[in-house]
Amino acid sequence: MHSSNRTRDGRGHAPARTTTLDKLAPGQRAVVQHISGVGSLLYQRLLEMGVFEGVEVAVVCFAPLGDPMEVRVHGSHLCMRRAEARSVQVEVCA
Amino acid sequence: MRRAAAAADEPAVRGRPTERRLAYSVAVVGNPNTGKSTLFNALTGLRQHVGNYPGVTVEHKTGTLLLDGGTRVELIDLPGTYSLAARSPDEMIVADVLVGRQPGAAPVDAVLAIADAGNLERNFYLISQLCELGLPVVVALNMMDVAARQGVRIDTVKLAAALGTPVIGICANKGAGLPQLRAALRQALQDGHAPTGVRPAFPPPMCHEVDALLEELDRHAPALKRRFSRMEALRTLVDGGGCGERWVGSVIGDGFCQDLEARRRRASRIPLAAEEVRARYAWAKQVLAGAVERPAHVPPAGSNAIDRVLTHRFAGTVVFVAVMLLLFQSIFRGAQPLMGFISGAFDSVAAFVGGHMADGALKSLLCKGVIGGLGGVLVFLPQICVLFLFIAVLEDCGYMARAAFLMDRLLACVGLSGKSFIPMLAGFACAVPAVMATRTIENRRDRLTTILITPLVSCSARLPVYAILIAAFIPDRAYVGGWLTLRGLTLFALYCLGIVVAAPVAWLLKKTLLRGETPPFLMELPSYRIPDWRSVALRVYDRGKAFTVRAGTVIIAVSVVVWALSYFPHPPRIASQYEAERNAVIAAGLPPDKLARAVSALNREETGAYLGQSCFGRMGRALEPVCKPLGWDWRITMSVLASFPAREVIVATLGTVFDLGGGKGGELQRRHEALANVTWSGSNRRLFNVPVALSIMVFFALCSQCAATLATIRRETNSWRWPLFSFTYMTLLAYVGALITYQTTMALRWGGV
Repeated sequence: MHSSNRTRDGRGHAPARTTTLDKLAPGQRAVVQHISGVGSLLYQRLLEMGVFEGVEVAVVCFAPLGDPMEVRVHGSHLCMRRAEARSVQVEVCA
Repeated sequence: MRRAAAAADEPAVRGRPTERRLAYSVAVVGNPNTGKSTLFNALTGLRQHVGNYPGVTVEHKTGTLLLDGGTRVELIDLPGTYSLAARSPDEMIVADVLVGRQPGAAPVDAVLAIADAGNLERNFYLISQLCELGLPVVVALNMMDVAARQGVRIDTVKLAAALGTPVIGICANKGAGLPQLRAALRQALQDGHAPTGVRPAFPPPMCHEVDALLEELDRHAPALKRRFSRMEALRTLVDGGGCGERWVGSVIGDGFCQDLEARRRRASRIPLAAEEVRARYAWAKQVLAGAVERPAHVPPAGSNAIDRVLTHRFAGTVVFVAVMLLLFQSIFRGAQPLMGFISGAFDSVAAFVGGHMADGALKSLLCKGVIGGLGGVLVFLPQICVLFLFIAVLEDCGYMARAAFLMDRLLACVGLSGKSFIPMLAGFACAVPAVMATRTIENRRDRLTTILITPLVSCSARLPVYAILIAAFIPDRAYVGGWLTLRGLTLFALYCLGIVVAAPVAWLLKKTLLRGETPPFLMELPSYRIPDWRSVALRVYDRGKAFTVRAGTVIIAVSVVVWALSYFPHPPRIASQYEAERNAVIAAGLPPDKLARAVSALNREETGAYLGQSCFGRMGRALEPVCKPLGWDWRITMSVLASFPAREVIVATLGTVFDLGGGKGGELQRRHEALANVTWSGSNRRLFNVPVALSIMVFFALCSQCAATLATIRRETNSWRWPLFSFTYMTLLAYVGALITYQTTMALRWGGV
């Protein structure tokens, strides 16, 4: 899964704009491109909560200890750990 | 047709209860935080009860709803869920009840789907699944007022037309829209037909595979003992490794699962779960498009502004600490007067009953065993109610999820999640409500780990034990100009000990016994809102009742057993010996005050003698060799044994055993001196010194000396295995801890030369 991430990264035409959700700064918005870890519980949960390809997400803030993070999607607020956000590949909105 | 096999022994046709089925059965289903419980409570009032389905620990509530025209409806409040693709035990219950697989649950006649009007898109994901169950569905859009304030305009008529099923806008907490909802429910039950609106458009290969799978499953219907609906076939195909696949596989054989994999590959090139989500969200967009108007520019919701403060690095932490301090103080101190009142009342009742009965086993059983046991149960109620009042309010207003969000990083170190924080904090007051509070943790392994480590946290019942031993044996030294005292530091160290030990225990449990995939910490942070007081009150009432009834029975039984162990064999020769001594004292013609003192001293001595001869006394003597390395003689060992059902009992037992007299106020000092002067039997060597006191305190800090906690663990885990495990590991830990403490402090010559 990680290797597939890397190839995708490598193939991206604008590497600066494609990153993973955990790397965004508070207030930044992005569009979900791809979620790795197909079949896992996390994958399923992300989909059910409305995080899937083409959906806009925005980082609201990080917890005081740096983890987890608060993300807004479809008008509702989700909390996820950075390790989990790492499996969500996004394209940063300008 | 959905339950063809079930219908064979159940003549009632769905939607038309006959004499055999007196009420319709309607399931209330919705996402978490949509006000589902508020709606349930508003519809059923107090006509509800909590129950467990056989074999599962997930609780469900049922309540009776009377519709116009005398239609009786049994409403089932199911756990909140985001999808019917069941993974957790909670979600499995929802899925199983809805398709009629759940043993002990009546077949569902209709679904009452509740959705948050402010977040329709995600809520409609679940609704699209519910519409495919083949059951009548009534959709309730809750919190219409909040949505209206945000400028969202919802045309329920258009929405109902698109869904092909009734849609009613409501405000469950104000009762608005409920009459219309009842009417719609009644109509839906009478008509009995499933939604007729548009369905999500799955790609043709996927639809084809679902149909083919349904045919295949129909062929196996005799072996499966039932027929599958199209929705179940879809779930079996999409949820790889899910419960549907496992169950069917176990009946038909492994070939089925391999076959299923091939079907999945044929159905779609991308994962089927993603295909499903795409189709359903597209459907939701289409259905909502004509019926919902949102303002072009969405003003930032109030929740956003509150969150900027409450999850802020600095302000958020300050608020968090303040809220937790308030919570802690309330259970620790706020409940104290009521607890004092309850135990006082039971003491008076015992004294009253005792005064009207002849001495003997029956009087002792009634006063100490039964009344004492009952008091021992009810004394926990104030703390339980205060804690659950807090938890219900924090959960309802949306702060609970933020607390978990703030503390997650800390607890992740030991393999837990932020959701374990509140139960552990509550453990400082009392482990009983704390164990009950773990219900907010969905993941079974996380919940069990929290249940197992919470009793290690120093609860308020340990304080009297620490207080008497510290006051008697720890020198009163002050440092830093009186800001720090050695006694205070000792107390602090004992409180820290619980946490310091709990962390590695949790880590170890998560690595060994409760090992498993880390559950995602993907959690919704609900919008802030004002709690619904009726729901809060009902939650407090439910928890209090559950504890009193279910844990209470065990506690009273245990207290009777303990009474017997400390009463029997009760040899009559002790009575005659002390009777003779008392007569001698009376005959000596002492002045009245001296006489009274001498007689009461003799009475205390007599109680001590009985205790020494009791089963506990014998066990203490038998176990003395085991406890000698801890610095304990048989009397300490006996006192500790007798305090296993409730640790605070040791204060009274030590008083009886070492004849300290009842100490109040000024006598306290004398009591401490008396304790310090006790010697080993048959020698001048002092029994108590700093190492002995420390070893007792460490033992009490780590040991599982609380029948109430064990009974609660039994009730919460639905098995005796976990309370037994908890008891065993904590007792071992306590012994080793006390041993290390005594041996090192003796080696350091803290015991004096």
